[in-house]
Amino acid sequence: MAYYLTNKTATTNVKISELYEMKGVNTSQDKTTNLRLAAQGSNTEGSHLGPGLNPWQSVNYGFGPSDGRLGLDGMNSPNYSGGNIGLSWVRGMDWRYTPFIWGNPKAGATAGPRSIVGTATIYDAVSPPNWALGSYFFFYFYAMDRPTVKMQRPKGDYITGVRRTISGTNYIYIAVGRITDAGGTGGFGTISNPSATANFAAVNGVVGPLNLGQGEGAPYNEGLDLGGSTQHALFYRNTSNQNKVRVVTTNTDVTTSAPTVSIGSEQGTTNYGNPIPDHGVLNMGKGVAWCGYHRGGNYQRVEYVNWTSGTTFSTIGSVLLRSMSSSTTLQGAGDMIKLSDEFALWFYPRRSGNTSGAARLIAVIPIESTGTNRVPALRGSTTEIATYDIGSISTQDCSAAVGSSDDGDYVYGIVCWSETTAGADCTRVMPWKYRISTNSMTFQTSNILDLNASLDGTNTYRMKKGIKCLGYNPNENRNYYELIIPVGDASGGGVGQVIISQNAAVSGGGALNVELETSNYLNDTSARIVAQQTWYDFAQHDNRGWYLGYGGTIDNPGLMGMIYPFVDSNSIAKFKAVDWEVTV
Amino acid sequence: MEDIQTGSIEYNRVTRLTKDVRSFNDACTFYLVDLSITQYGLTLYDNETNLPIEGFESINLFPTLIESPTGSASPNPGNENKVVIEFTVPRPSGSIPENSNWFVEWEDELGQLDWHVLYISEKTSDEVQEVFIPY
Repeated sequence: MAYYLTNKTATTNVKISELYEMKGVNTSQDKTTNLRLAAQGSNTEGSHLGPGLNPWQSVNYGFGPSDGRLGLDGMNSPNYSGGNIGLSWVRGMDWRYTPFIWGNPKAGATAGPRSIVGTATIYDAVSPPNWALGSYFFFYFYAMDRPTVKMQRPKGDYITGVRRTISGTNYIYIAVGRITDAGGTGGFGTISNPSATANFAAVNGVVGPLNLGQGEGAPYNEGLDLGGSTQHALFYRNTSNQNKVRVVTTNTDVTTSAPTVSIGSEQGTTNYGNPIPDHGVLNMGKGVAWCGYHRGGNYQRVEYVNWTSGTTFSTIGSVLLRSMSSSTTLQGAGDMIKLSDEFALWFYPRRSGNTSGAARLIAVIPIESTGTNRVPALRGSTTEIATYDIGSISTQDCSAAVGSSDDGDYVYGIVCWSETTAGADCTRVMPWKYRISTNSMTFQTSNILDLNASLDGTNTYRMKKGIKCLGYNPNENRNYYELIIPVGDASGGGVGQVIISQNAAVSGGGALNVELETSNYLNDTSARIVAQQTWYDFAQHDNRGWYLGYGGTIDNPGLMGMIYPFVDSNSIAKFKAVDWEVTV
Repeated sequence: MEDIQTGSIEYNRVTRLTKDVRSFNDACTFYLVDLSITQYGLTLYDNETNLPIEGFESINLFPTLIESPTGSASPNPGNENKVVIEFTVPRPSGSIPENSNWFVEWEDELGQLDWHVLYISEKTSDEVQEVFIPY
C-alpha cells in the first residue's frame, strides 16, 4: 500500500479519503524518455519514499512472481501499457527492494558478502558530541549520472551536514562531495571527502531535499533533469533560539563540474522559540518539505516550506499539532515517516505524567497535507491515534520505518527505541499496523522484539538509530528492515546491525523475526553516533530507473551499496561505504 | 500552553535551585551525566501568548553544582534524589515587560536535562534565595 498522487494539477484541498480512493496513476502526462529515478534522492527516514527506492512507485511489468527474472519497473516507464497503474499492485508485482539479499528464491540471483570498501571524513570538531546529534547529522545523494553498464552504481553527488563548534561558537556546516563509479562492475570507485562546504553560525538544524517529488502534473525528477541546480530545505534553530529556514542550493552536474553548495538568507515565520528540530525532514512533493520540532513542555509543531524558484521560499508556516506540559514533555527525538506526498506519521517518545511511577509512552500522530502548499494538518480528530506504555523506565528517542502489507487498506511498520533502567538496558522493536480508511493505528504489543543484549548501550536510550525498510517480498509476504544501532558511550562502542523481517499478512500482527544480528558492524569500535544510512543506488537500465530484467540485458556481476554515516569518539563525522556483488 | 513546572526568583541574587529528580528510572539522565558542566539557558516569553518577546537576548549561565543525586555519576553526591545548583541571573538592561516569564532549557553537553519556567522579579535581599522545581 501507500499511494502517490499525480495529475491532480488543479485540485486543492484533497481529502485523504479521495486520495486513497484514487489509487491510480495516469502515466499519460508523465515523462516517457530519459527518466531515471535516483534511489538516493530521498531522506525520508525509514520509508524512503521518494525517487527511486520506493516500492510504491513501481509496477509489475511483463512477468509474474514466478518468472525467473527480476522485475522492477518505474511507474513512469513508457513500456508500461496497462492503463492506469494501480498502486496497490505493489502486492502483486515481482518486486525486490534488495532482491539478492532479502530473499528471492525464484529469481535465481546470488549475492556476495557485504564488505566495507571505503571511509571518508566529513568534518572534525563535531561538537559537543551530544547523543541527539544523530538526528541533526544527515547524508543523502541528490544527483546521479547514467551508467552505461546495467548493474553498475552511477557517479553520485551527496550532501551532508552536521553541527560543529569552532572556537566556542556553534555552526551548521553543509558539505557536498562525489562518489565516482568504477567504470564498469569493478569496485566502489572513489570514496571522496566533501569537496565544497558552506556554513553559518546556528545552534542546530536539519536538511531535506526540495525539488524532488511527484504531483502537480510532473513525475519525479531525476538529477539530470533538475536544471542547473537542486534545492534543499534547511530547518534550524538560530543563535537567538528562533525557528528559521534557509534554501540550500547545490549544482546538479555529476559529469563535469565539481559539486557546489551555497546557503540562502535567513527566513522565518512566527518565532515560536527554543525549537528542537530533531524529528526529521520530509520531502512532501516537489518544492515542499515538512520538519517536526518541539519545545520542551510546550508544543509539537510542524514547520513547512514551499519553494518555487530562487534562493528563498515562497511559503513558510508552522502548524501546532500538540500542546505539551512538563508531565507530557518530549526530551528527545522522534521520527516522522512518509507514506505518501500527502500523508505522514510522527512517532515520538514522551512522558505520561509526573506522579510516582509515571511511565513513558511511544506515541504517534497522523499528519495529512492540505491545499496547494501542502500545509500539514492533523488527520482526524484524535491527536495521538495510539500510545504504548513502556513502563516506568526512560527513553528519549525512537525511530520508525514503514513497510507494506498484503492488503491495500493497511500498512505495517516498526518503531524502535532503547530503554535504560538500573542494570537493565534494552532495545526493543514494536510492529505497528495502520489502517488507512479508518485512520486507526494498532501497536502490536504482543509482538515486541527485545534485541540481543550486545546491542544495548547505557546511552542508547537517547540516541538516533539508523532505520530503513529494505523492502517487501511478495513471495514471502514479509517486510525486511535494517536497524543500525549505536552501542556507545563517551569512548565509543561501535555500531550494531540488525536485519528484521516482518509478517505482512494483514490478518496477523506483524510478527517480527531477527534474520541477522551483527555487532561492530562497521568494524570501528570508535563509532558512537549514527545518522540515517542511505542506499548507494541500484542497477540502472536505459535511463528509466533501477529495475532489472527488462530487456534481458544485464551485465553481470553488478554491485550495490550502502552508505553509513557516523561520528566517532574523537568527534569526527565520517561515512563508510559498504558494497556487495550481485549476479543474476 | 499546558502546565509547566515553575519557580520564582530574583535578578542579581544568588539562587540555590533544587530540582527533584525522583529516581534513576524517572530521570535517568540526571544520574548519568556530569552535572558539574551544565548550561542553563533562559529566554523571555509572553505569559499569555507563550511566544518569545523580541528584543531580549537569551541568558546563558553555567551553574555551580552543589549537590548531585544519590548514586549519580556527578561530583558532590548527596543522599537524596535531587540536584542542587547555584547561579545568579543578571538583570537585563531596560524595561522588562509585565506578564512575562523566563523559559529555561537546562542541558549538558550530551543533551537536554530539563525544562521549566522562572518568574524573576527585582532583587529584594542579598541573602541566598532558595527555589524548588518539582519533578
